[in-house]
Formats: sequence, structure tokens, C-alpha cells
Amino acid sequence: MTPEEREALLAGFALGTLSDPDARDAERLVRMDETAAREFQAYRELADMIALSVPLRHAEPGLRERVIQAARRQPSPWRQGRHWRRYLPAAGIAAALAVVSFWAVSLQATIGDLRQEQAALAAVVEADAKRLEALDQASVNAQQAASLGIRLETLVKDQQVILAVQSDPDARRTKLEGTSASHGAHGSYLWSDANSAGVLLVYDLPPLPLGATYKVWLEDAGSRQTVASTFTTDARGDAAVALAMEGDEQPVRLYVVASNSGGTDGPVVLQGTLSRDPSVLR
Amino acid sequence: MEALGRGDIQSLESLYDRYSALVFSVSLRVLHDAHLAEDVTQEVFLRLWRQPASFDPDRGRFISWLMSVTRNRALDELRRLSRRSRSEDVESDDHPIAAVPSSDRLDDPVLGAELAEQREAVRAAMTRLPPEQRRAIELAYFSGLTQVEIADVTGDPLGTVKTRIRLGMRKLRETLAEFMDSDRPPNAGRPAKREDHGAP
Repeated sequence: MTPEEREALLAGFALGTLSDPDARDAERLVRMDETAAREFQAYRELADMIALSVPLRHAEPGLRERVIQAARRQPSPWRQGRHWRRYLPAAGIAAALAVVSFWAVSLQATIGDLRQEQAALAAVVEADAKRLEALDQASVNAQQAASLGIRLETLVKDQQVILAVQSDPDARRTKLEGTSASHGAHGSYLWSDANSAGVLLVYDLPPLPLGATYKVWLEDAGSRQTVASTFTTDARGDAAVALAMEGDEQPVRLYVVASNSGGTDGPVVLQGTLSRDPSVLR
Repeated sequence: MEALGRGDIQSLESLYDRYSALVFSVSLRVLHDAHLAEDVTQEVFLRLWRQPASFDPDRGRFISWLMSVTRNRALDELRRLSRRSRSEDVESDDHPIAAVPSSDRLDDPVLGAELAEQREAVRAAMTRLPPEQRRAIELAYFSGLTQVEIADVTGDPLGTVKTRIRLGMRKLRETLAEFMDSDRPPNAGRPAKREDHGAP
């Protein structure tokens, strides 16, 4: 690759204007070459500055009031946490108890984040149930009904796994690191020994083009990589995903990549090293 | 952002007053529809309110993050509505939006002097680019087109599009180096601009 080709690749990648094969080359280059990673970071910063070139225009004045009113109806989750903390000094709770309480609130917050996802899931389940009922009534293709039944069963199982892992006090949590392609996305991975199951929690993932999905890769100690799941997010870029494990081998690395409608992987958006030492993970 | 994290509604009002024109303008530039741009603007600020921790100061400036979120949301909306068409993109690129009056020249005092200076520099740098380089970069950034799609739209060979984007981005980088954290040498004259984290 000539220096010009390399520069074109990195600048194009930062602008998000590369085709899938080129984007894969660029992603690999950035991941493996520190100099390229720095170059890419500079171009990303530059790309974000391009937005500042727009002529300045103002929205209609009523929008401000609508935004503020909508915000008042959706209290910041941090504010809810502040209410809870107010009772701590008054109750004179000991520091050890505070740690336990903090864990509980943290768990509650995570479950709260999942509520929307689960509501969406429940809507899908309900819709499928209705379709199943309609299929029964119409006595249509039995294969279709069976397929929907299996899908329903899978959705319910996934939801059960997510709830079980979330409510396991011994579940180990690994924070996932974003990459330059993640645009502020973050997430974590929960592993529950009691349930022998893992759950991936992601937030603020960038929107994907129609037909594209996010793909979860797990890598074991022998560097074998398997696709654990594919998923899409809700409108806020959030998702909770139950991850299937094959065999006894626990994964040591996890990657979330964007995958186009053809199944071709794009850049890594989230990644994490999954140590098996509970003291590190929790 | 700290105050926003504490659930202080006044901090959201301050952030809105300071940045809403920029967020709206970028959304409008992408979507070419004032109502849709308002929807995106509302969504961006409500996301800030609901998830203030999604901005990580260690990863860069607030304004860069905000522009990135805005652009992504606007492009997502553009794709969702399937409003992107070759002819529309080319036409709108050549004819600035007329529906919403611009208040640009004087800039917005609430934006702050430093950000206003940076905007002026970016606009001047874009203006100084050869038109074909600027157009290729704008089609990529504001219309979300790939290089292949840009070649289709402009009728230029793909290699030419790649070269234009490379040269344009290089020139912008050289011109705007003093405003970029990544390219500023240690102990350079201008201090790092971290004030844009935007804490009102």
C-alpha cells in the first residue's frame, strides 16, 4: 500500500465513506498499527469539525419549551439515584451496608435500562402469539406455525436468561471498551455461574443501515472465534442479549462488530477481555 | 455536563441555549427538512438528559461528540425515511436551504467566542478547498454517501473521488491543525480547548 493509498483509506474511514471491503481493510489497519490508529484519530477529530461549517440556523422558539417539558417528564436516572442517596446519612447506614446498597441500586438501574428492551420483547412475543392464534384459526401451513412457536419459545427463554443473570448477585461484570467506531457506545458483559449463561448489555450503539445487524464474536483461550449472537438495538441504541455458550470453554475475549445486510463484518465497536478471576470481574 | 449528571434541568436549558442552533443546523443540512431537523434536535438533547454519562471527556471534546451524535441521528433518519435520492442530494448540495432564515454572519453570542472562532476557521478552510474536493467531502459527511455512491452522483471515476477526498482532508487538517487536539504539538502556543465540554 502506498502512503497515498493509506492516507486515502484512513481519511475515508474517518468520514465513514468507505465501501464495506475498504472499511474492513481500514479497520484492520487501525487495529494493528499504532501510527495508523493515531492518524485515524486525527482524521476522526477533523471529520467531526466539518459539522461546524454549516450556516447557523435556529429552530422555531417553541422547540426549546418542548424539549424542556419532555425532559421534565423523563427525570434523569441520575436524579432518581440522588433521591435514594438522601436517605443514607439520615439512616446512618454503615459503610459496608452502603456498599451492598450501592450494588443493589446499580443492579436496579441496569434492570431499569433493560425494561424498555424487555417491553419491546414482550410486544414481539404478544404479536407472535396473535399471529400464531390467527394461524391456528385459519388452519394454515403447519410448518409456519411450528416455526413461530419455536421463535416464541426462544424469545421467552432469552428473556428468562436475561432476568436470571441480572438478578444473580454473584454475576460477574466486565466493562466493554469502545473503539473509535463506537461513537460513545458502551456496555458490559455479565456472566452467571449459577445459570451458566452470559448476557451482553449495550447502550448508545450507532444506528445501522436497513438490514444490517450487530454481531457478537467470542474468542476462547485457543483463539477460536465463534459467533455467539446477532442483534439489533432499540431506537436509543440499547440492547440486552442472552449469549449462548458452546462446550465448557469460557470465552476470554468478546467483540461486537457491525455487520452489513450481506453478513460481512465491519469495524469492531465494543470489545472486552473476560478474565475468569471473580475479583477482577465483579 | 456535571450539573446535567446531577439531574439539574437548568443545565439542560443552558446546553440547549448554547448548542441547539448548531445541532439544528447540522440536522437541517443533512435532512433538508426543518420539521425533521427539529425532531432530531429534540432527540439529541433528550438523550443528553437521559444518558449524560454517554459522553466521556477522556475520549475527546464535547462539541465533537455532540456533532457526531447529531450527524449519526440525522443520517439514520435520512435512511429510515428513504429520502436520499441522487438527484435531491446533488440539487440540495448546490442550492443552500432557503426555508429557514440564517442568522449566521454575526454568529450566536451564546456559542462562546472560542467556538465561534473555530466555526469561522472551519468555514474558511472549507471555502478555500477546490469546489470539487469540498463537494466530495460534503457529500460524504452530510449525505452519508460512500465513495462509490459519490462517484455515481458526480459522474467522476471512483479513483478521482478517493483522491479528492484525500487531498481535501489533508488540506483541512493542515489548515485546522491549531484547533485539533490530535495534531497540536506539545507546548504549542494555543492551549488545549477543553472548555467545550460545555458545562454551563
